[in-house]
Amino acid sequence: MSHITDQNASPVTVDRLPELLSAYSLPETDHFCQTRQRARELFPEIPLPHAKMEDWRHFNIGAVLNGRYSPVFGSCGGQSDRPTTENLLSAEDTAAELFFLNGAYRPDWSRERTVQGVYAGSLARAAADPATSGSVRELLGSVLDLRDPFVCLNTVFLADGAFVQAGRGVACAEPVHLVFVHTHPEGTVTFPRLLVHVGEQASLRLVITHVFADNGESAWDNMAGELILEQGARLELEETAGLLGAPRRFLSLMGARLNRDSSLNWRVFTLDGELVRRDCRALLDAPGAEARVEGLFINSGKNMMDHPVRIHHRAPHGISRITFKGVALDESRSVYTGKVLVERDAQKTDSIQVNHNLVLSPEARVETRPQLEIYADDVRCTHGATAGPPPPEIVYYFQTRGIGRQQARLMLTRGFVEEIADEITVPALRMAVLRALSKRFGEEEP
Amino acid sequence: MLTVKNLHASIDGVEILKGIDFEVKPGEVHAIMGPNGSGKSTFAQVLAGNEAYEVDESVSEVTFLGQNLLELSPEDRARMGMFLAFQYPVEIPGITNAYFLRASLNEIRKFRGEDPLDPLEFQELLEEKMRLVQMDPVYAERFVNAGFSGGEKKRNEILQLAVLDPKLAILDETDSGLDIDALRIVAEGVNRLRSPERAFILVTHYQRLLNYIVPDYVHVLYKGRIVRSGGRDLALELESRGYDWIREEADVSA
Repeated sequence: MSHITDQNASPVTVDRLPELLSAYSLPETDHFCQTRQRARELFPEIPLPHAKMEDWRHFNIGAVLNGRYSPVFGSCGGQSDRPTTENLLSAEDTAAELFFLNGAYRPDWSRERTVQGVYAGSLARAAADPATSGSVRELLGSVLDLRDPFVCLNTVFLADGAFVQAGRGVACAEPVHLVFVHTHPEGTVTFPRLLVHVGEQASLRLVITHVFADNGESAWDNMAGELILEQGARLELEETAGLLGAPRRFLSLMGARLNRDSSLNWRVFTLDGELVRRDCRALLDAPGAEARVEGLFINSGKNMMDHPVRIHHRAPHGISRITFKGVALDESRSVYTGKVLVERDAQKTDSIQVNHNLVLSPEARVETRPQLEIYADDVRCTHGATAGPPPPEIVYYFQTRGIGRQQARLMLTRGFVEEIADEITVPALRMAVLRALSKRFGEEEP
Repeated sequence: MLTVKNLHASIDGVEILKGIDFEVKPGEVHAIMGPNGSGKSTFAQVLAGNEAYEVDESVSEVTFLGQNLLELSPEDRARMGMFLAFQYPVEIPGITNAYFLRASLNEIRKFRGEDPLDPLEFQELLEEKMRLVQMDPVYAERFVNAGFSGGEKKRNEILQLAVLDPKLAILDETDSGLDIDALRIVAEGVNRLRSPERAFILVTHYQRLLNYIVPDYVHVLYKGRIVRSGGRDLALELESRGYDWIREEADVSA
């Protein structure tokens, strides 16, 4: 049973959400009132996940749900300085750099630049602004299913978030950088929210950086994000967690909907974190859409990471590529589940899914589950998965060239992880990720 | 340089090498021939230190440059100047040829007490050696052997040999799977690398390679023993008569 506690009063359970909400002091009448109300009514009816559910079998969700949490929003006594992200991506190289502290927009930290046809800023403000409120109302909640318990919970506490919109035909060459700062004490939970809309024939590059700082032991971040790509739109998305500070408990559910001939390139990096589940979903909703999801996780200590990736082909001539890699060290537990669903109408679907895991410790466990569910008869779908230590014959080959076993493993690991990092299209970020990987698996420069 | 006495080695409990005696001096080129399954590749792998094979150290004695070879790890053997060109070179995704070779060379240089080469110095050396083995410079930035043809892989082994400058080079069936042009290029590369300080052991099934690389000595390995040694003529005799007479002679005397 899940308990969510009031900050000041005694612990309350989820069925007492209304009381909790009042303690949370959300504005009584803002533009999300009805949305929250719907979620609030629905939440008690949604079964919470447990270890016996197929999707949660390998993830210790109990460790999250058995905690007691107070919801927090914005500053709550944790770190209150703007974190430095310059070494990751300089503000000069961005179209806009926006900071969110525990889900709340921080205009004072952010650097908004006006790019014609692009909105990048607070979701709450966008919901209030007549120029954008229509879009927000129409799009928010249109991709993610409110019946998902974590989406619902996120929505129950919806107060603000990030909204990025590129208008029809707008090509924004420089990336928009969204920095989600999570810094809050033990026993608290945040609900960051994201909404991205790429208009018809528009193109957008988005870099999302999750910064974790001074988080209490059981601090939980429950993120939900939606990406909508209109006809012919293009979105490059690079999302990193664990590059600046490690998450404690981080559940993120991101869903994309792709319209006709749109294309999404999505790269997800989880470089550190104690208990992390990052759910990535893409719905190819109209013909000719293309989704590429690449991921890399590095899991160490006794940490647990779960990356469920779902691609849903609903229309013909869709292309999907999943390339997910993992490095498992120490006594870590890692799960990858890749599900490609091809509906009956999605003829000529072209889908390739690969998941490779390098298991560097005999105590580390990796569960890889690539799955295909195909109802169309004229498709090309393949999947492949591997998990294991570096092949001994390759390590031996290194040795015969004078390179010892330990260094061979480091070089192999670096080569393995760099293949994904090399794909990052934002040069500064690519260098930053490569630097971090090289620091982690760096032998002396030969 | 290399002295092998009564070498016994087995894999999964099956004895493959049953007492090999063998000696190599600097500058010499030895060919080891023999029918399939005679233990040729095992011999090459055991010298390089492949741990899949178990050497019976109670009877075997192998010294390399005055050191007990059997006590050394594969990487230390390489650092001392031993090089094995593989029959089936592995593919290494994610690591470029240039990066791999520089790491390798610098390990060897470190062992010799020399300063590592920086990327620029190394680049110059690599380009020179690539010309030597007639390899397109684009291969420097390709992942090691990944997607290479059989011939390209073998040529890449010879490139490594040229860059790493070993004292003893063992070529395990380098000729197998090569068309005649590729064979000629590989052999030319080896011939240019012959020197009074460097010795070669060529492991091969066919005499063909020896038309291009002329050995000083030819040894026939059969059932885990060297049953016959001679000069280059022995290889020609094997070419014309096959291995049957060797088998018969050896089986009679056994």
